[in-house]
Amino acid sequence: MSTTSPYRRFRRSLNRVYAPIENRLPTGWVLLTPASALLGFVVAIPLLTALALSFTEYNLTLSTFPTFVGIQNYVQGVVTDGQFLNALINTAVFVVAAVSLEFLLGFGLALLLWEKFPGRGIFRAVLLTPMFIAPVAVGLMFRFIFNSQMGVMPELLGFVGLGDLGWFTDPTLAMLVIVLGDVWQWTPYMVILLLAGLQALPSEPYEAARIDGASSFEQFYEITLPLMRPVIAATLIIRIIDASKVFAKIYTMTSGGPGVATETLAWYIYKTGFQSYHLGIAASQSVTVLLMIIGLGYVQTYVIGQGDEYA
Amino acid sequence: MNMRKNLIRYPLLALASILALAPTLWMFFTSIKPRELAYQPDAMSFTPTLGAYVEVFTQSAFMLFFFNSLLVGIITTVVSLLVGVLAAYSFARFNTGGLKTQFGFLSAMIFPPVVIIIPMYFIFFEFGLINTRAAIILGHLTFGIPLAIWFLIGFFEELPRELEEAAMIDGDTRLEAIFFILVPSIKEGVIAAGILVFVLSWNNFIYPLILAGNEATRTLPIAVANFNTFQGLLISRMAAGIIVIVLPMFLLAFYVQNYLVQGLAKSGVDG
Repeated sequence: MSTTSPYRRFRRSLNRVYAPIENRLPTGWVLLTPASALLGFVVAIPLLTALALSFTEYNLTLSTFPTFVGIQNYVQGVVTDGQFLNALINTAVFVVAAVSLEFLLGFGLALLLWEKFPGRGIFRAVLLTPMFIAPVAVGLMFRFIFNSQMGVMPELLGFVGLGDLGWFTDPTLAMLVIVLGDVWQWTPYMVILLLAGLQALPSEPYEAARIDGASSFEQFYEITLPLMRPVIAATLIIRIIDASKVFAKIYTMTSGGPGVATETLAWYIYKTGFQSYHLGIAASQSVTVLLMIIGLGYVQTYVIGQGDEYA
Repeated sequence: MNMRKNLIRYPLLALASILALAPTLWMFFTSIKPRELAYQPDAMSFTPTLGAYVEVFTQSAFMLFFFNSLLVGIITTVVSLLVGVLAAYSFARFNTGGLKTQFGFLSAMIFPPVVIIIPMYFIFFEFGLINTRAAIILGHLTFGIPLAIWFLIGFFEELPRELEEAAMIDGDTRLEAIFFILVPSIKEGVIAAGILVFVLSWNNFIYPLILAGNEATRTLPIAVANFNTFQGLLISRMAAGIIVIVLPMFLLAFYVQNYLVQGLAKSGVDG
């Protein structure tokens, strides 16, 4: 092969830059540098800026540079703001309802898919499809399906004598449709995470149990559940964190309505920042949410720590 | 014994599969109805038409939005994989900075986008980056890079050290050993990670919504959300838009699902 091909030359010049760096600096940190630099720019700097902005008045309509106002934003936008509390409660209700349904359905399906059987690959492929759909599309689909005039759901419920329940005009039902959309989309993710955990379990305990004549139910309760505890905890954390970010479905399905019944934290912060243009207040709300997530993280690490001891 | 299990298994899985497919199939069904029937759920007999798809692509700059989504997705994926491979290798081989550093990198996935996007809007506004594709890509890197690292660490941990040591004795630098020896031997993992990042970028809504609202940089999720007009005659167009954004992801999903289960088992859900 010719040594002067552009590809060879590129490799050589890359090495000329890289080799001296690796010789002088610790390799691990050198290789980590590109990721650190990019994440620093898109995550760390914005988070610090959010902290700074949260103490300023910054209004998009005024197009002036932010001015310092102390803790006023936190008083106005968090502590004394009933809407913020409302969004916090709605988010909690949504997360608890959606994630517990997803977990029960997901664990059941993962158990059904655990052993090898004819057709497993096809069932798994079909069951996973919803998680690859854009949340915006899921929102529009569910809004259309449950729509009073054009939806197929009121039509179907008509056959059992229920008819149109006014899915988007009743506060509880509106929340229920969003929960259903989320459950439909993300139960597959639960399935895949739990299935990965199940397939990594050792087979010895089950062989021993079978020799002892343990029933399927006993095996599940005595072996599977305890061994799966760390995986279950991690799966729940992943989904709780994800579910608490819900935004696109709210945007497309209800815009927070009826009234403020389905306003979640992400939606409310977006509304404060980009519909009312109070970026400073939105920043203070963001920082508050961030602190709550970190706090929740500590609680959960503690809970998992307990689980590890158990397993 | 097995017979009895299958007697429960197949009906339940069949029911779940129907529920998983029904909403998407209903949208497809709606998209090929003539527009004056699309908003009538009980209109079941009709001559299928692709008119809605023609409308979607001719009555808006949909091709441009499609291209924007593709471009943003590809660049996000390539950058995430490039820096993610290096970082994952660094964590797997050198345990750089210990578990705390590793957790710090992965925690970027935990923060809600809306928390990052408020200051990001301010920074990008000051830098004149608002309404550029670069802004969307930078936004998508907030989840692309941590996801690639998280997914790939497990794959690198399984490779024997001898693999790159042999290459380095033969005169390759470490960088060459990583990209030309190690990456090809964990090809499946890298492809799966790349597809995951691409899917998340393709489907992402909040970053393009806030960082790039104008027509030149609009991506598909924004374009589809704009079809959110519940006027009966436009329903078939909305349905067609949804099918266009969903279909490429379904193809990727069928391709990637095997690797995905393997990969998640490796990356250790409890890690």
